[in-house]
Amino acid sequence: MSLVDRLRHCSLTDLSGFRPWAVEGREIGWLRLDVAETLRRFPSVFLVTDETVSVQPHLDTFDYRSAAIGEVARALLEMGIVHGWRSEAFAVAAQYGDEPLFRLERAAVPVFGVKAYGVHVNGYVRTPAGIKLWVGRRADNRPIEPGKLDNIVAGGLPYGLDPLRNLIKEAEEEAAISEDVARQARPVGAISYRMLHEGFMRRDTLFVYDLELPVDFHPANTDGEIADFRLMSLDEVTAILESSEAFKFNVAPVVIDFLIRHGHLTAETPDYVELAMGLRAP
Amino acid sequence: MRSTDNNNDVKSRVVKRAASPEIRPSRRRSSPQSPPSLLRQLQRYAPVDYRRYLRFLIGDQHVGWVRRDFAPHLADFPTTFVLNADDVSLHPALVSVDARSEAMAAVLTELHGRGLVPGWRGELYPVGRGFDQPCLMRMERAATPLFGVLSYGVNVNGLVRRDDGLQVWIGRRSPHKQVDPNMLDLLAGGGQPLGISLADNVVKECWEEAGVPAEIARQAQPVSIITLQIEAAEGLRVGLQFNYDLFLPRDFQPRNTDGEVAEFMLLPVTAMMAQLRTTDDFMYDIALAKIDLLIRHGLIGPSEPDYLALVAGLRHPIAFDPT
Repeated sequence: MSLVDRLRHCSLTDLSGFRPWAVEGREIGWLRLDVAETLRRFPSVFLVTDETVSVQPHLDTFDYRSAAIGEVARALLEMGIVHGWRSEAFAVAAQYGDEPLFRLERAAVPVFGVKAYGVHVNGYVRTPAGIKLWVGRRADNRPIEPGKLDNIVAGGLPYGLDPLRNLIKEAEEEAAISEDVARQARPVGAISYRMLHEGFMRRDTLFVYDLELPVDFHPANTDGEIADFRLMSLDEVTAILESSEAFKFNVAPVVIDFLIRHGHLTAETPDYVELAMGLRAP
Repeated sequence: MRSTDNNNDVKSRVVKRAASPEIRPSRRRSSPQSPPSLLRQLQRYAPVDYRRYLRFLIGDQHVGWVRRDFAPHLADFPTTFVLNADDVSLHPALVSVDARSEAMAAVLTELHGRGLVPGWRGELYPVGRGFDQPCLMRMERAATPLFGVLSYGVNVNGLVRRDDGLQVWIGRRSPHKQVDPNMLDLLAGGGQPLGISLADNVVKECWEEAGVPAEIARQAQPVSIITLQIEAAEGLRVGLQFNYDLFLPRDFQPRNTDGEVAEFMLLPVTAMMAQLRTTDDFMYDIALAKIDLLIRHGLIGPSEPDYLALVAGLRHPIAFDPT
């Protein structure tokens, strides 16, 4: 096991099991082949060919598309293809910042293989012994990756919320970080990946922030999503990343990016270039 | 969330089961106030048209690209090169690193005599498929763009923390430099030849270009990499550069010792950003390193136009064929 395995885990290069789908001629997502075939049952919404899937052109507004695709998502839930329903809408656009083409229930996002966005915060303190990173452990009842190690603050980006507003909201809920402190978080880049996750294609872009915290600050979870927080040296963090899958799959690349940017990993680190290239999926 | 202005377009069809019906699309606008995009820097060169090139192979390893109109010169050396329709490879009889390097050196000396290898440097660069991959051959630095091989370099951002914000040391290149005279550069940086570690090269360049004492230069921290693939005047530049941040004392004044830098200026990072938005005064690769600096230090964020395109554009994978 090595650090670079944590990145490769979040990388899907063989797309042969998926079919692209488009809205108004713009590629919007990737469907597993069996899901694409299932969409033939909804000919008023989707036009399915052996190569591509497209939304029927009469669905020519945001609201029409949202309603029609939402109904299909409900049907896929009843068929057991979509798992769970979170009543949380994600905006779907061809690219970040483009006008959204429709909204989609969060639980259906991986089934439709559309891009989703999130915000991750590296909470750290500077000590005489060097930088230390706050690491959370996810509660055992979380639907995704229970018990895994996590950033101090992380969350999906619901439709309509800008990344900083979302960060402030999540910082309060997940770590009892006040808005004044949360606003000091600095954007430091983004990672994006395309991976196979529970049988579907996840295509996530995470906006990454660094937040330097006072040495005497201790995060406290208020929404039950994090079991506990620990302050770890970067050597300890690196050792855990190298030797285990204890970090949540998409938190590991965020933390590796932190280790790179803060000079904790150097050119002597095995696979340094691949680690520093990071995850940059289209 | 920005308000919507197209509710009037929504037809009166009943929208059933739509989650969060209060949510409406926002429309992306480029207002007159929005600053010019930093993407201008990434767009200074057209994307490389690889159809104009033959792949350059050592054994079965793809390590570079030779312009089709340069290949006829290589045909004069049939014991060194084998030319095919879509690739040019080193002669299979050249099996060792030393044999390849000697044969290539002899060819380049001859081509240099014909005026085809401008700017001979007398520095050897490794040729291979990546930084942590085996060196398959050594090659004169000036010839690397002729063969489109991957070369490496180090960039040192000279930074000063002040109460009113981050400041950046910028160098203006000497008017006598062979490449990019008079253009804006960073505190120190340079190509990465064989036989010296990145960290030692940082210390060496910091001293030669900016007079930074070794004990300060050693505090430079590796922070990121950038890649470039451009058709420059000297040929196809395929580069991977290692970026370092070096925080300098407020009273430190860089001074050039090798005649390569005309002057140094300490600029507020915001002034540097304004220059990147509106001018091409920075060398291309340095502009990339500076955009990387702006991203890492939070001077721009997700609300910056083209933020994700900038993040992705700094580190395009090198397009070698897979092995």
